[in-house]
Amino acid sequence: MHETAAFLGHFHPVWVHMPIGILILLGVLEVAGLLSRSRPFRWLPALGEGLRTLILCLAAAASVLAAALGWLLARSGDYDPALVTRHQWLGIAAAAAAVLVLLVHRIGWLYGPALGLSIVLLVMAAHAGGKITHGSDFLTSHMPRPLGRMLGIAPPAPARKPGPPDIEHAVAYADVIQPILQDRCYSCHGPSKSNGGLRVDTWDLLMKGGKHGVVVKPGSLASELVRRIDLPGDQKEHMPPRGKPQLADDDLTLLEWWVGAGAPRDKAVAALDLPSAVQVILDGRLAGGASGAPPGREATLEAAAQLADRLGILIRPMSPDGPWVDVNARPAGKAFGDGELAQLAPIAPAVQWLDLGNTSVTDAGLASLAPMGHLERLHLDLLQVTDGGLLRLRPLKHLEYLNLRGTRVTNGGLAVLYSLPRLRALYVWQTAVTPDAVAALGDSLVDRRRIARWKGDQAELARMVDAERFDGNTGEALQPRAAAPAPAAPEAKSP
Amino acid sequence: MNLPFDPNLLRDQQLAWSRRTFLGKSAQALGAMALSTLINPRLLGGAGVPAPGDGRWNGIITSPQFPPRAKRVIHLYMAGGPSHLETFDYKPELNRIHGQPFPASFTSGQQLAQLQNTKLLARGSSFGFSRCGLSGQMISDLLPYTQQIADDICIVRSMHTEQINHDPAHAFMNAGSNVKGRPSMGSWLLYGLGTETENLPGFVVLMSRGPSGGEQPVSARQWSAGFLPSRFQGVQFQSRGVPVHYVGNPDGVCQSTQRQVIDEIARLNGFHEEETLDPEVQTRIAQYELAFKMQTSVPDLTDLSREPTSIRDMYGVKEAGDGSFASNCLIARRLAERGVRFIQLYHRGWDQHSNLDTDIREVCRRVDQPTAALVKDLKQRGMLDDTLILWGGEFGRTPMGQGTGRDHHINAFSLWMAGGGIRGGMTWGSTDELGYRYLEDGQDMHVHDLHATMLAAFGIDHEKLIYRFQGRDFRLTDVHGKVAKGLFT
Repeated sequence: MHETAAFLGHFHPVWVHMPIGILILLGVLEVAGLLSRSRPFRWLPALGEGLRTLILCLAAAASVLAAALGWLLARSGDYDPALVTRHQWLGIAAAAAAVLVLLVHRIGWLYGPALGLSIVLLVMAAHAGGKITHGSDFLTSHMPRPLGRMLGIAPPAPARKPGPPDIEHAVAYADVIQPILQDRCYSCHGPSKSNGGLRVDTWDLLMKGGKHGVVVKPGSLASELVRRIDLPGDQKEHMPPRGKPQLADDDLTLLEWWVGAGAPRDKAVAALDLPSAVQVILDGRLAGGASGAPPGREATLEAAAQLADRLGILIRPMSPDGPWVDVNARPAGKAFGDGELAQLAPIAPAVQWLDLGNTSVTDAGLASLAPMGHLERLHLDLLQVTDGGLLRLRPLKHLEYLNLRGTRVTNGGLAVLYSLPRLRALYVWQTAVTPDAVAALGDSLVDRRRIARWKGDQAELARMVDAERFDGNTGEALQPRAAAPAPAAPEAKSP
Repeated sequence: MNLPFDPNLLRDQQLAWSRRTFLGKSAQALGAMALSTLINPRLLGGAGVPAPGDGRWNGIITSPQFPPRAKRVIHLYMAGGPSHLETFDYKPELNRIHGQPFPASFTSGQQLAQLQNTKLLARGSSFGFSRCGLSGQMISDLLPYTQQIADDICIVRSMHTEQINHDPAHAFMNAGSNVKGRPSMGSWLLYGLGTETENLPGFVVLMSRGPSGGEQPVSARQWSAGFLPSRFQGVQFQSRGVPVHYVGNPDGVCQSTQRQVIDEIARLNGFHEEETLDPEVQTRIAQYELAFKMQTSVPDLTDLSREPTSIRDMYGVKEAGDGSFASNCLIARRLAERGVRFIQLYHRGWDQHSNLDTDIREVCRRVDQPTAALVKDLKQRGMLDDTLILWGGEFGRTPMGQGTGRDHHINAFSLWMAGGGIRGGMTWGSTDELGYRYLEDGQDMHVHDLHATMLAAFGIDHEKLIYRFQGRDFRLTDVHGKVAKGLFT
């Protein structure tokens, strides 16, 4: 029964436009009828008695139905109670007024004022309803300032502070966490709508939780908030719900970091423990981070074109508008060495992919990589690079892909990779590195809690797949296959 | 005064064009005008864009429209039309009604190739399917090696095309149109992005065949550049014996002599080019230069003796350069390592109108191991991240039997993609319960959609890769194509 009510209730926002349309059209027709009595507007038609009655019947019926549907929606929805109460009484009044007009429309002197009252009530109810779904400042948020001053409406406060605060002074909740919640959560858990009784628009409300209990337990990653945002996107309980703008992976990391750090309200970022993964994200989001401002596109591409010609390498832009470039030195072959790599200095901050495979770059030359803070993909395959050279990769905090195939690195060299929080793919085929060392690195690179869960799932999935193996024709179950041999290339990949 | 010649007369002669010269020059001028429209100026945004005549071609797309993921394509082209029902599309319902009349509700009013006016009987698959890998994708037991790479590949079951006979269907798969003279996708990609090597063609084709029966010819127009400058066309290497004929110098000619000859020819061709402004002269100059470089790069490329035995065994290469699909796959990996943009390996032998069960078993045996080895080999080299692999044919085969085989079928077929940013371990799209027609579930994939998706992997918006020819803007996807965004990680 409750489900049916909710189902019908959700048609309220659709149906309400029916009585609005009918009554406003009736008002227009009546005005036209009045005007038609004067000479210049004689061509306008006047509404006949029978038609008027019919239209009023329809309007009254539509209004009452809209009010009824609204009642059902209010019972099932999670809206701001104050706004709902106001809208509810206005809506009931408007419906009553529509019925009243129908009853009195044969009384000539009463009809006009009654219709006027009905329309005024209708507009007020509609506006109150609009406030619930779109927010209070929906109509005025883009109003020109002079007009706003004339009407006495304060210009809307700017949504966000002009620039991100300095990393030294930023407050973890106000400058890092609240903006994420504002972008992704407020629309359903905010002032105008509080699904599940939960509002997250202030620290106090967030801590208070919703009607199903507390969502943030400071210091505990078992918090409901963390659990729900961490679920796979196709799960019913996943937040934000499917179809809504989703949290980025970085947002997830930051939220977990903040909850894990005790969900403090006033503590500065600098006062909290900063894992390197969080440090990298904050560097990008807050001013004063190590990354700094991105280099300019025009200057970078111009320098890149000259370098490509001079060095016999390929440089392509990576995006339609950013300065980021993909540098491929492989075509230059052994002619490309440490000196040539050093010449990339003018475009270094913009290099996102760099392929040095099969060139003659050495350990010493890798020092030129230090300014390439945005490097994401790096090919060093077939170079005479040793563990000493890998130490030069320490500043590459954005590195996601590293190809060390056929180099002289060993297990010891991987130590430096522990400080690269974004590394997701590592290729060490044809080196002295052992699978154990890579597995250990892989475990450390991603959140331990997540990888543990992923491994659990993996075993479960393998079991299910085996259980389902059957012959396509006979339908007979097949024996579980022997475990596949270990892949030739040890790989470190996150889930 | 009687000079040997009168300078005025000479000038007059030069000015007074004959009718023939006039017509010839007019045609060349038209050519020049055509050249000026070769490049769409809207695409020329950044600095350092070469004209098509420059020695090095770095592509018309100076800036990607999306983040690029792939750098090269290896297209394992299963020519003849592999049966999706025996490979990647598991249909228990079809097995159940095996031998019974095929429901007319599926087939009425539909195009048939050789099954017209015959009694249509359902034909189930004789081969089992298994759930494979952690992803549990259903793959036929005919492909045991492909089953091992199930978690790396994305199977697309909802492919459909518009051409029901081999040659036009090949053209449709390659060029997005059965009309002759359209550029193939490899040519479009070269035109858009250029190549990463100066020593080899940017678009290389290799061919293998067998078993006997089920072989259809594949014409060279399938890798033609169409109306694009012919420097973008595919170059076929011989997969057996010498890969490129006459690549060595004759006795008494050394490379330095050869260099001088090429330079001189280029100089002479340059004169002709200045006079005629014909882009094809530039193509010729570039091809001579490339051929010279290939004199050293090709022997190095095809020298498989330096591949370790373990690698050769993994691919199942019995004898290097024996023309087998295995040998071609190994060469394909070497081409990819050297920066070739588009590599197409045709394997003829999938046209099983009869003897389906025996012949498809044999062709799978030839193709399966090398294919999986290629994926694994690229993966261990860290190259699968930026190499897009495409495995599939030009159409599928009917769920209705044709004697002991199956007929051509355009409403549904399967292929798979791997690498280049494609999400592995996933099945995309599906067909109805008899494998007759793709389902319109938002994951259906027309050939145009495949092309659009392939270009998107390179960061190219398929609506922006345009070439103006005969007054009309042409695209690989013509006026169609939608990118299957869900395929990408």
